[in-house]
Amino acid sequence: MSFKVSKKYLVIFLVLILGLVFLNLFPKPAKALENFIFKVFSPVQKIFIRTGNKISDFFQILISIKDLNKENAELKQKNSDLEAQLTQLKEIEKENETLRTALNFAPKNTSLYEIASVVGKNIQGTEEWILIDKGTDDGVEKNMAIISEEFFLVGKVIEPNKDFSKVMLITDKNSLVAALIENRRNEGLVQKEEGSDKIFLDFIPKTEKVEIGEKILTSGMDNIFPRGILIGKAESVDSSENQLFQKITISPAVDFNKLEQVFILKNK
Amino acid sequence: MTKTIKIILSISLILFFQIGIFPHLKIFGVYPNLILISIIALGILRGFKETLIWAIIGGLFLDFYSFNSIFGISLICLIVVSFVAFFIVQNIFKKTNSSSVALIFLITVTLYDLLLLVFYKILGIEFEFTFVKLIINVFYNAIIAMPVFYALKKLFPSRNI
Repeated sequence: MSFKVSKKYLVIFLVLILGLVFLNLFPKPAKALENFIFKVFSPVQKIFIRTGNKISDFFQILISIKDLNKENAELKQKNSDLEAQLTQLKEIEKENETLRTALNFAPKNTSLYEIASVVGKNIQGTEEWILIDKGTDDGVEKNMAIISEEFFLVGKVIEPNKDFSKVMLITDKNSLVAALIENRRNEGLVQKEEGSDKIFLDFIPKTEKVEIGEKILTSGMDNIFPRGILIGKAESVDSSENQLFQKITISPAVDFNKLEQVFILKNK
Repeated sequence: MTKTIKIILSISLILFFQIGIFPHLKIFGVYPNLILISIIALGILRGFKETLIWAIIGGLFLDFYSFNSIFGISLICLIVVSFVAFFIVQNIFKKTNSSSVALIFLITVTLYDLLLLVFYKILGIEFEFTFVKLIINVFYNAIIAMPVFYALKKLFPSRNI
């Protein structure tokens, strides 16, 4: 067995290490190059992301073709329920507006939504994040909340660059979201389960009998995510004796693999 | 110069596939790393000297599309594994076949994951590690690596194999 590494390679390796140390100490050139690469690649990446989603949808349709009729009927029912709810909400909004005028209240500070396209994704599998095509030049700041087109919680901005921002998904191991169970108002924290891909709601007392399918919403207590954004639904409840609180596994409302466009909530 | 541009374009194409297609192949929270697989395959097929520039460009892309606070970790790991792949071919498996290629992929992907883990530990970067996930990741990458290897073998015929 021969083990010879020529001097030339050692020099290249050393120069590389020194270069990397320099780029970490003075990150501006690396950030500028990163921004440039994202800018050049993002149009093609969008096409690949869309194509990937279409291929995935096609195979999912093939797999679930049997259940389509049932699902269709369920969706029709859901749609009419939602329409009814919408009408009610419009009425409430009107009433609210009238009361505001009567009481001379200033309108509630509404958030600014900015649409952004997903132009990149985590490629190493160690972290859960996406890249969006809006950055500091568009007014994006660290910790701004990101929601899907359907207004479901996606994550928060963690690394804003000039024209792009990296968004940490709620499925990342470092993500923490203050949340509550709809109608119950018990508050807890949503985080990733260690060693699995699932997210769960923690700190809910065992005395609360949580039903499967109950909605988990943001509580707004973390001052990052506004109150009332849907995170997902309770998938399973673990209230084993060796735990202080029950552990509610959540099935996220968003399919993170298929995100193409998101909203940035500019008003934190 | 044109060679470098060709390499950049090829790795960009691999990156687009990695971003657009591979996240849909997620199994137990892991999906193959096409850039890593391709660099190891080139290390086996074309040797370290030719693979070095691929590893540098591929590593840069991996670092840009990672969440690390330290830039260059993937680049160094990629260079090391491409060298190890070449070293094994040169010194251990003089006559390579499908099983030896699969074994090289198993060894080098494991090495890549462990190197990342060591770097993360040393530099204090939070990293979620489970043994089961490592095993799934290594075998999943090795399985996907085989067709990728034979496709690349047609594009970049080996001098040794």
